[in-house]
Amino acid sequence: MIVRLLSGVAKRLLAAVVVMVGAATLAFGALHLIPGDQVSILLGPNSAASPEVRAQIRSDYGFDRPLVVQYAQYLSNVVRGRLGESYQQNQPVSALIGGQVWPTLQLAAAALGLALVIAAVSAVATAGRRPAWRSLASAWELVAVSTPAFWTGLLLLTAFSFQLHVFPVAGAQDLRSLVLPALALALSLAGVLGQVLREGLETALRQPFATTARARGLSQLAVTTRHAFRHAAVPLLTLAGWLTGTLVGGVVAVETVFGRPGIGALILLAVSTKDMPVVMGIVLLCGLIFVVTSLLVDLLAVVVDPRLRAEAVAV
Amino acid sequence: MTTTEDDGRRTRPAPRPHPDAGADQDQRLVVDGLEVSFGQRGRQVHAVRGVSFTIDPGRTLALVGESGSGKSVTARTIIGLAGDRANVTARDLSFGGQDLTALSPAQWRAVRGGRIALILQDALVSLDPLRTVRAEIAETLRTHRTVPRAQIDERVHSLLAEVGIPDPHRRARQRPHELSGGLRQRALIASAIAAGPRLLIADEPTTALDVTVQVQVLDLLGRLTDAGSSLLLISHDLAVVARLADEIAVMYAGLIVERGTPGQVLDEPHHPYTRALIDAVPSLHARGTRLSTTAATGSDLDLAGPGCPYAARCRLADDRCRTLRPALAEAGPGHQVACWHPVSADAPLVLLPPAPRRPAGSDVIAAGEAAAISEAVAVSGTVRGDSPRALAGPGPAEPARAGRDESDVLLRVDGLGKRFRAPDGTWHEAARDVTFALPAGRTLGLVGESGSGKTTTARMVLGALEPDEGTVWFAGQRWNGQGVAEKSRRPHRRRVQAVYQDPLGSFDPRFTVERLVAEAVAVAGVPRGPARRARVVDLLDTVGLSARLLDRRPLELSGGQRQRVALARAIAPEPDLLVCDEPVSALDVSIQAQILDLLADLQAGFGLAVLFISHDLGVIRHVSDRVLVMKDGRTVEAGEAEQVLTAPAHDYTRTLLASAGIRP
Ligand SMILES: Nc1ncnc2c1ncn2[C@@H]1O[C@H](COP(=O)(O)OP(=O)(O)OP(=O)(O)O)[C@@H](O)[C@H]1O
Ligand code: SF4
Ligand SMILES: [Mg+2]
Repeated sequence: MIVRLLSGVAKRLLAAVVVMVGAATLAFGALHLIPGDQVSILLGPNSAASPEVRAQIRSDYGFDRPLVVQYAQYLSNVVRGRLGESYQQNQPVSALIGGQVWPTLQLAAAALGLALVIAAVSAVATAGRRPAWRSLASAWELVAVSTPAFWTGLLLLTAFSFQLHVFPVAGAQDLRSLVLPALALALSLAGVLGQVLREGLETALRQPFATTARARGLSQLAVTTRHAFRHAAVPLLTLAGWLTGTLVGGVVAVETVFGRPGIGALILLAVSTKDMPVVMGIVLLCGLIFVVTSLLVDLLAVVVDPRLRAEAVAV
Repeated sequence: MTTTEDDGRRTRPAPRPHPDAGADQDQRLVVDGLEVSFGQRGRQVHAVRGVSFTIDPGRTLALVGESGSGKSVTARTIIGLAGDRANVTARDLSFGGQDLTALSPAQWRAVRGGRIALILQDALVSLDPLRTVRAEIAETLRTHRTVPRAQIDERVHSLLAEVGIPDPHRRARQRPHELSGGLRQRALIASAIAAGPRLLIADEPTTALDVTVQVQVLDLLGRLTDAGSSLLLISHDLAVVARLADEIAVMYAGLIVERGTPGQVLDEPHHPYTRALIDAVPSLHARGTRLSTTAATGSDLDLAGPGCPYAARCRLADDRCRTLRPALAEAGPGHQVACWHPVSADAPLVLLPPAPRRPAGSDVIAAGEAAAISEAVAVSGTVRGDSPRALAGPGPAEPARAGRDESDVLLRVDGLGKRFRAPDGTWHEAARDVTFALPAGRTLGLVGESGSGKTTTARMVLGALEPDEGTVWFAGQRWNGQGVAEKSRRPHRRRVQAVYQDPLGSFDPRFTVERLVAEAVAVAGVPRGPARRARVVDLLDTVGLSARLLDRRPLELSGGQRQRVALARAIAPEPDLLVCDEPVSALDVSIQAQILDLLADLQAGFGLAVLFISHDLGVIRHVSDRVLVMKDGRTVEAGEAEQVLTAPAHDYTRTLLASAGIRP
């Protein structure tokens, strides 16, 4: 049993490594696939560097060596945590990302948490209830899903910051400044999550064990939260994990709208100035987030549904 | 009220003296004029129509009747769980003087589990699969504050011990799927009785269990009533009912049509429907005779008419029956029958030849099956001109069978073996050296208790499980065995189809009947569009379902209807081999009979070979040409059905026969 457990864990770790190597390769590929001379990109469009200087840079950065060697060098650097220097900002990439990543993670986590809470409340309140309530909830979820986060953000800003002055317009000084951006991101997530959760709850509520629980004297709400919720939680978690991966796009937009510091501004700057080391670093970061959330989701799923334990070990 | 028969019925003392009328009043269930209907897409389903009965403390009332007759709806109404869409009215619906039609949600919560408890069929799905047995039982204790918080664990263990679960400490920590069927059902009962309810409602409590385990669970329920609880027992199994009931009420189409003691109802049935129900028990019939009285199921009938609801199926029906509904009337002391022409008790039991096809336009009988229907209704010789005739010769399926070439082997199973790792790390041999051959168009019955390796064998035959040893040959090809790839099976997959005990598990609950069957039709290569729809309707017709069911969902069908849908799906790709794993075990006898007859018709019509798995020897005997008896993964006996079942060579076969009530 313990051997199988360990081999299960080993398989998962191996998968994580594969994903990270994939992300690194993708980043490396991106660097070498964009058209143009590496050195010109590095120096930027307005540089007047002499050919000698350019040759010097070329050999310093190793651009003149064979691609395979560059690739191997890059991987070994990544493993040792060296992501290189930014072309534009004369700072190590790791320091740049490290300096900006916290507000973004804060925002993403707050948005995800808020989305889960909204989804849970609306699904639990309406699952198995009167059709009128359900269609109302479904309608709002549909609207929420199809509204882009930046648009929601602008609306929220107009209403709560410009008109009512309840929340600050920009910045990331305190928790108050987190509320609106997190809400803007959370609403569309909550729409999808709420729909999946309600469906899961209703499937569970139709099972005989739900009838048994009601026959024991539990209220409909108690059956939903104590029994059905766990059954609906596994698909919900899987989806939430998957959505985390797609959150980056929304984050960039929302950070821009609300003028928040974070990876968003860094990404925009790096992409527009072709600051390749930074772009590559961010690709790696996304890979890391993906790996961590899927591990987390798998772990939580096993906690929620003990029947998965055997399977988790076997996979 | 006393039955002294020696066939397993419990001998009960004559009506118990009740200590005093006050205590009696305290816990008597009164149901008077109960009506339940469901508003369904503009069409009302009148599921219960004026049902009345009372249950005194310590007594057991059994509700029997075919699928869809309203038994479960009656039971759920009493505990207030008939659903949002149910409209309930009653002249009186009360328990211990408390009016159950006027309870607030909070009052209902106190009644449910506290004074009235409900036990459903299969505990694998009736207990929350994600929670431990302890959590489920503790929930009842906590909800009703039965014992102080600190004593909950202790009480859980003592309850488990009370219902006869060995090693309660270990079992309490396990989840339902880690327990055997019998233990699970006991755990479910423990969770139901935890708060000391005075009335137990058991809806098919033993249907999913083996015969031997059934007996134990029934004894447990019997002990609970001996301790003073009342029991409303719902079952399709007349043997179960006979064992426990003080009184039996037979339901048909939402009405009680006959009521009395087990002696009266089972030995001297007066209502033609009761008579047909008793006649439908398969073990009383030899192979080839038809069991069902008609193909139409209760919920398919148009029952809103003014006459007797059974008139459409009744051989004795006359004009009065069709225009005036008979009320329950005394047929003896404590014996009531709702029928204008009650069958007299001593009338001989006679089987009639097939009824003529009903006129077109009457949707009482599904057309596909009508031709093959023979009515097996008992007829009293004293009734009108209908002179009793004996059923001549074998059923319609027989001649084709006799003429088939024996050497035409479709399925050959050669030395199959499969081992599984038990949770404690030891190896468990689920099948060992299983060998048999099945010619095209024939039926092989595989019988044995649960855990004897029947399903493992079936899964290897289906190619769903790779054997450790041995080979399955299908149509002359290596079909399954070490190293046979799924890819090589795929072109022939459609030729082997399966039907399981509970089709609910394999149906997506959100799909309509049309979509479920259309899925299978699509696999058979019928293009989308009117052709596919026509084929779906055609298939439903073949299995005796009306096209009106097309947009129903699985949960809105009765058990028999669901199994018909499963059969329609199975025959859609026109297979050569049908593997049926306990296909009728969850159904009540009359529906069981219809499904078995349908299977015989399909087999005759399509030349299907059938591998039929069941723990019920009566059923096996009825359908099989050959029988294979399995025990602990091994074949203990095999041979021609009649020979194995009339002259068993192995002790185990004899034990099985004895516990099924069949004497060789
Ligand atoms: N929630 C519901 N909505 C609509 N119709 C329903 C509902 N529940 C039950 N019915 C209908 O009520 C009738 C009686 O059903 P019920 O479940 O009581 O039958 P039953 O006697 O218990 O049958 P079985 O032996 O198959 O369990 C059936 O026609 C069924 O289709
Ligand atoms: S004889 Fe008439 S009343 Fe009696 S069951 Fe048949 S149809 Fe109904
Ligand atoms: Mg039922």
